[in-house]
Amino acid sequence: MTQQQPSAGPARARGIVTGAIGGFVSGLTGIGGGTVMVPLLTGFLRLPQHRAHATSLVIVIFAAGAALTLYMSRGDVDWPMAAAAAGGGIVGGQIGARAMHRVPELKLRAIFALFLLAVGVRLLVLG
Amino acid sequence: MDDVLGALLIGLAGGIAGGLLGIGGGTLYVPALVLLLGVEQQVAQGISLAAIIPTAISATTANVRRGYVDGRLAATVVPAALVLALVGARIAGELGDDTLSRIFGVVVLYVGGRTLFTVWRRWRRERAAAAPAASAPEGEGEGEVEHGR
Repeated sequence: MTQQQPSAGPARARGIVTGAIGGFVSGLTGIGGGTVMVPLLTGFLRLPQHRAHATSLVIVIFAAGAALTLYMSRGDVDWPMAAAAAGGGIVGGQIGARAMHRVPELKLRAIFALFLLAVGVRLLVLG
Repeated sequence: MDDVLGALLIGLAGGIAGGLLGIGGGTLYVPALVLLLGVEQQVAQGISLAAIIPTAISATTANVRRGYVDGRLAATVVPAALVLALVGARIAGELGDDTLSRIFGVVVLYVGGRTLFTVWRRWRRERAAAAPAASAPEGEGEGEVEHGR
């Protein structure tokens, strides 16, 4: 997919808006913001799906780090559990990223859309 | 000890999904910790945030090698994300768990529906372009006309 490159000024403004929305949701839900960041990067900033997923993860690192400082200050972090989840996550992240590289653009987009719908339904039903 | 093993497996599953979907894995971590291990919602969110960081770094190392990371764009997005993440987390501390989840559920459903719609539209267009002779007035079904807002 050839994407039209927006001019530098508006692209910067859109980047800031994207960060503001994604960051806010990240802090509010503890989810890391990627769920909202990826659609913003593809729809608002016109990134191809693979680049959006990869760039979203970089943003997520920093947004999660910022939100984490608040949870730490409230004492809401169980470190042994977090370390265990992180251990699995480091291995899983490699597997998932390599799988992502092999999936074609449109199929990856469809997978992401179905994931969003599943998440939305679960959140609404279970609260 | 069972809880630690459970967290490890949840981390693995969340990491795979996160690396594939570009989301870090928290969407899986939080409900899995709450529903499978009985961790309190706020604590689950704290564990999730702490686990997301190494998970996302791990996936990013693989993505950088493939040239998929747009570093310049990330540098534009990150400062605003940092400030608003702090604001969001402060509000989360004052709201009930249910309110948070349901508000976010509505947003996610909307975004998912819209994404699926654009996929369906592009699939249809590519099929029309691939069909022989008669159809496809425009070339290649390229240039997706996504309405940004």
